[in-house]
Amino acid sequence: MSRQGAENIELHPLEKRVLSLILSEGPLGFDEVAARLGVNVGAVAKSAEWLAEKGLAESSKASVTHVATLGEEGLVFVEKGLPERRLVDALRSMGGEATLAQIEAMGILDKNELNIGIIWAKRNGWITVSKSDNEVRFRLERYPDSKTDEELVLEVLKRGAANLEDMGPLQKACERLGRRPRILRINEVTRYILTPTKKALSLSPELLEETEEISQLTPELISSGAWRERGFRRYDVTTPVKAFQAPRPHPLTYLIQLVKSIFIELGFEEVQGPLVELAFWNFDALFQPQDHPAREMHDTFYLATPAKGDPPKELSAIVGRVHRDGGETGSRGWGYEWSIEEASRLVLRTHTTATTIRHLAQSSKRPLKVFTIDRVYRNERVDWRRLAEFHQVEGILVDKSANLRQLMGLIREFYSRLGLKKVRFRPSYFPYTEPSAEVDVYVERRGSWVELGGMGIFRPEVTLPLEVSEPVLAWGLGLERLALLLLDVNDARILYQNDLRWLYSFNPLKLERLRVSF
Amino acid sequence: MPAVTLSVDRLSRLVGVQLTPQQIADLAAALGMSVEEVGEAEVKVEYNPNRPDFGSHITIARAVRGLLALELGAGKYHARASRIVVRAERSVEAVRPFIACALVRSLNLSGEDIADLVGLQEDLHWILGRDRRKVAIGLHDYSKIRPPFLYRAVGPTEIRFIPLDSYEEMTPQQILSEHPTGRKYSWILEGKELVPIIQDSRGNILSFPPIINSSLTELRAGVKEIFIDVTGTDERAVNQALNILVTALIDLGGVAYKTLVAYEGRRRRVYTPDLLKRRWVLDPSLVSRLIGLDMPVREIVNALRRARLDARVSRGKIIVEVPPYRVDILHQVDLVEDVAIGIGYQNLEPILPDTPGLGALLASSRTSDILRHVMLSMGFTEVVNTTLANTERDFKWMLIPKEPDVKILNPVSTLYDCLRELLIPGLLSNLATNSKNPYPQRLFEIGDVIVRDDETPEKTRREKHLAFVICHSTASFSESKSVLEEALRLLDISNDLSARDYPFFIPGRGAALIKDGVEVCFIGEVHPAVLENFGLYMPVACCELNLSKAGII
Repeated sequence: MSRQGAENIELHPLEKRVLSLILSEGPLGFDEVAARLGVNVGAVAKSAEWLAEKGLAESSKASVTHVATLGEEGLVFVEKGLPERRLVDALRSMGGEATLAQIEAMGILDKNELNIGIIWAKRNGWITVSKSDNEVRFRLERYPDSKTDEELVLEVLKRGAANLEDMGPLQKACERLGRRPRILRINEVTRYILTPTKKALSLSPELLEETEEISQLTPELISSGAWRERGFRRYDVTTPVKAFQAPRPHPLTYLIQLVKSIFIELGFEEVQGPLVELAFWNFDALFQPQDHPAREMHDTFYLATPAKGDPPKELSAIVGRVHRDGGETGSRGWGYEWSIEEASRLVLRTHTTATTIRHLAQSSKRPLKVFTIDRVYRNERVDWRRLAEFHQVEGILVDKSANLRQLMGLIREFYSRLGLKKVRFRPSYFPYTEPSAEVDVYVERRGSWVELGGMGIFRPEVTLPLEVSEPVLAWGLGLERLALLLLDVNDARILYQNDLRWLYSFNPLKLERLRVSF
Repeated sequence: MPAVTLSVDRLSRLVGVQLTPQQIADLAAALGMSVEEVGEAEVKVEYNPNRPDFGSHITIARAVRGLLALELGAGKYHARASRIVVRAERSVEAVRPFIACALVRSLNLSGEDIADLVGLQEDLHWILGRDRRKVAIGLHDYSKIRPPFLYRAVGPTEIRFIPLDSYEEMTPQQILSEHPTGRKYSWILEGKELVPIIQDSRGNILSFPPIINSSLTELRAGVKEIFIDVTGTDERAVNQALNILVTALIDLGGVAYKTLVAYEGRRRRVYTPDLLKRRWVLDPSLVSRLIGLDMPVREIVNALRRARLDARVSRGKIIVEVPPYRVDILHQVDLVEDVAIGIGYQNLEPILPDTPGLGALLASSRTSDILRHVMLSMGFTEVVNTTLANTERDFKWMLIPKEPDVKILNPVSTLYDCLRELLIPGLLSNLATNSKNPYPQRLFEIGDVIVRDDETPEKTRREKHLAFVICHSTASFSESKSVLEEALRLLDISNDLSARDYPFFIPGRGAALIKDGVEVCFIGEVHPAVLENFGLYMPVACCELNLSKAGII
């Protein structure tokens, strides 16, 4: 807290008004101040607190009053009569004597009310209770002709809460009823009085003058120096303000950049290939037979226009032979007549392997380490887990010494850098790799393994026609599946919906923390 | 992928060891299957199409016995000689040219066994048969028929027989148009004048391949002798399917007999099943090199034997005999994978490759990243849309009187029928999606479009575009122009906008940027008719820049 000299005391407009009032009128109750200034008691209390802090006024407890109000039973009884009254009314109507069963049968008191009524009627000496032949009997001893004090209290309170101290002769009855809190509650209310201090009396009058306060500081106020003459309006810093939304990168591009950076760190070069692809590169060069189910119309988008392209001539002849009988690759081949027509068809590539195989065909660099993250297509009905267009994370490593364990190590390292530390590998099958494997990662949050991609070593039927003799490690991992995991989304379609509420909910820092703590 | 629901009880009996559901799941995964569900009494797995022999309990049990080392190497699979002849008439050549048959005796099949076989048969129809087109299989109770058999093509109303799941005689034509199975597969025979049938010496029809069998030979529990016919268009696949079924029946205790298939007029006589064991010479150093594990030859041999292949060492090489049901072995490398499976993938310790390499991003990626930062810093939020597009949205709604450059032949979903040539239609859709969200809205996208290019082998070319939209009650040309000008300054492109009308802009409120005589950018206020088409009721100003044509990417 800063020390405040009298000379730099600053007062809020309300403080000024409150202080002026008690300086001219003398000590006043908060309620009186509020009434005079036309503000509520809470605001006065707040000003009183501030003034007290500045040593300009003191609040003191002036009096304690007790306020009586009706409880939930009281509100009922004020209409229907107190239970003890209703009990004696009933007894009188039965000729002054009745059994419990008879009273109950009349139905004017419920079980609870009857119990209360018996207690109080007995205590008031209105009835006596006896037991004979297993029956409880009541006898009217004295019928209260005039209203009791308690009943009068209820009538007073029916009009609203009242101060106990103002009840006069009924005060005792009111206190008695107060012991039955469901009928009547008595609350203590303290009244405070605000008195100016000596320091306030010696305050210079200018300080209390209501100057025009500055709300928005303007260039004119600064350059003219006028701000020196005027105070600043205090802000309520807790007031809600208009939302500000910083523009965000799309979560998918953010994730793509993250994945790219990991492959760069691991020493891979980025490559890119066509989205509209020759069936030749998408399938044939990858030793997928021309009647392979994956090539069917319900899996692959074929183009109507343009429908056909030009596969590389020389390579086509070699690839065609490999499909037929294995050619020079040491393979048996698929044993069918290969058609260049089929290989000329244009498709929307079904995997990014079409791009890595192209790159493998044209690059003589050894060792070779390249990757691509790009779009692929599947001719599918779109639902919460399947998209017709999505991304793959693809790569190859070509080196004399490359092997399956290294491929597993590389993929394990990749996922570990994304925070997915627990991975496992299973045998799998792709027409273009052998051995092949599938990678699952364990997701703690879900308590389950999630399949994230395939990998393997390119078959000689794939590499030898391209004059590649070294082992080629290859992998293709799903990006959207990873996105669903890392962004904690359940419906893949959300990724491409671009709903601003979702885009603004993306927090790269949260993703980064998740990556560390996965 | 084809699926099998494995009964824990039946598989345990066939393996000869009581297995728990989890053990079965682990074994299936170790064999390369994908485990879908692990229940109390059943385990649902999917298997890869390279192993069409995995479609039954019988055949999976065979592989599991190897993995558990209960039985090593390939089993003994022989077929005895018989006098059964199957004559294939010339007439089938144009319809369904190949047939292979076998007889298996000494069986006593339970209902469970038959269900298992039928499951295997159905999967083979799909995997090897490409939905029966390439291969179709008929299983028959041999006691109901008498050889020799005749395979021929007949007119669709020439013969009648009672097909399965029917009580009345039908002609092939009736079956194709009225029987549920006939209707399902009639497409295979579409356009054929004749249809194939198999009949016995008494003239009884066994089968109308690839559609349906006769009810005469239906398999029932207790069947002792099974006759198998496999017909198709690819002889290799036909023989593979027959081998897979016959070896499965031999595993159930059957004794197989060969049949002689005589192709009339083709001077070909073939004994089927061939039950051919293929011999491979495997180089042990290839195994070590590809797996990345120095393995003694003995260990490789053991792993192969666990994978149910016969293997022995001869002069430093490994001689491998592959049983007839293993149709996936095309090359030595396929044997290497079997070694890895024999060892168990879970037992292969991953190691990091030591191959050096210098990481590098494509220049286009770096440029895109910079532009993304620029757009973000100017207050635009990034969206990502698909390149798959829709003629209606991308052209009609935009009032662009043009056919798409790239049209899709066979979209399953009606959402797409072409590829995008502009980013703006996607961005307008995004604004429509967000019409209930607070304004102003400022969005951008950096992405690919695809255009015709007959100079490339793919007849198309990718181009990189940058587009942005500004949408609020006072969105205007001038606001979008300020943004474009800042972008152009950064890209070092001279800012010479010239007035130009576009169908999707308000007349007089559109402009183009021409660089070296090529239009590289357009900018303007979107025409309310276009906004209406997109369901937008808020003014939009937008701009699209072709980064490839502008020589930036």
